[in-house]
Amino acid sequence: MYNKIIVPLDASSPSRRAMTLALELARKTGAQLIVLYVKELILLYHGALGHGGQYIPFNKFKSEDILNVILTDMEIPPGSICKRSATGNPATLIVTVAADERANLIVMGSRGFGQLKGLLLGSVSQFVIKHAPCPVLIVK
Amino acid sequence: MLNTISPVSFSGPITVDEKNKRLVVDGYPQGTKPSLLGRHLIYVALKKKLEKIWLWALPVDVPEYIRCGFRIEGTLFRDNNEEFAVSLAYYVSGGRGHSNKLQAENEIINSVRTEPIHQERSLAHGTELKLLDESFAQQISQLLTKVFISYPSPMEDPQYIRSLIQKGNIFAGAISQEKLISVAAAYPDQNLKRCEMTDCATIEEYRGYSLSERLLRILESEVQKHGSFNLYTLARAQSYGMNRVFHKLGYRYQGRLINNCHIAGSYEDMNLWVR
Repeated sequence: MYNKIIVPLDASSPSRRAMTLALELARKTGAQLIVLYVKELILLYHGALGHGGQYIPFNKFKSEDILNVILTDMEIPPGSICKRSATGNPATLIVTVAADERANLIVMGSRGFGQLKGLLLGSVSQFVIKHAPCPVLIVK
Repeated sequence: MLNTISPVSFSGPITVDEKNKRLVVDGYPQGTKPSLLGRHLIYVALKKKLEKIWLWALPVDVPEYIRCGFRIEGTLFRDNNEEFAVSLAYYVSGGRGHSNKLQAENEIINSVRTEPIHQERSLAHGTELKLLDESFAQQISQLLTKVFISYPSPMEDPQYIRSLIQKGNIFAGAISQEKLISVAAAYPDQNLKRCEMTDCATIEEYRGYSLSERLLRILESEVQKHGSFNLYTLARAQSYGMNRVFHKLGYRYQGRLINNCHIAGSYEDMNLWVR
């Protein structure tokens, strides 16, 4: 039924519950599970620079360490799972990675930390539901 | 093994702006250590032979950036003081960080804020104010290149102006005898809910009729149709007229960015106004 399931993961409770459910689904269906960690960019300004601008990557942060801490905390051996990380806007990156991986299902928490705190259904979930290339399972 | 991808959703928070010899940093990943980023930026700027680093920072990170040699130049915030962003600068070249026009520019700020506001002159007969679509790209380009010998963004390229309009940026203009005589633009950013009011230019013989002010009002009402935006502008610090216009429209002066961009033939200080 499912070949590939993407789980965007952060330290929030809904996200951990989504991970638990996705593990169960993967076990029952034999699907491959891919955990995605998105390091959110804090954008403070946007100025028009024209087409001469050249993007400089900044990679002095360790997404893998953060992801491993979350997985270990959930008693999931980090080495046992396929992981991806990305930096940028979580909403668009979840959709992009799902398309890139040709995922059949996205399982994600209803809301994470950060800017979405306090909302019943976060803006990330709403965006993913609208734009995902596959079915989306939202876990409360 | 972790498979990492580059940002695809933003046009990169760190950009080399060769045209203005500066490194522009619009943001950084959550959890970034300011001292690490600061050192990294200085290294990149030196390597790329740039003269200025223009970095937007969270207030909580400002002390650490200052310890790295950055200095505060301005602030952006909403009315409720939330979403406060601080404009910092580091000058790789000492000369770039020094402005010999500060006193004159301070006097301009003082006078635009204290002189009484008179009723504006009526619009000259036959002048039409309207929003401009892509078909005006050529005329906008011609007007801006006529008014400014140099400009921070590639407005000499009509295709660039077309792409700005296609992306949702809004241009307004004054037309007299089928000729574009004044222009202004609004660049709304839906992610930040902020809008830069910019690209104001009027052909010399048509100045004195508050055309920029009228066009900015049109743009403001158009922008408000798309949501609630925090409006701001970077006005040439030596331009009494533009600073006066933004004061009259209710913007607040929030700092000066030294030799920030190449405009009208040289590097100029830009005043930050926010509403």
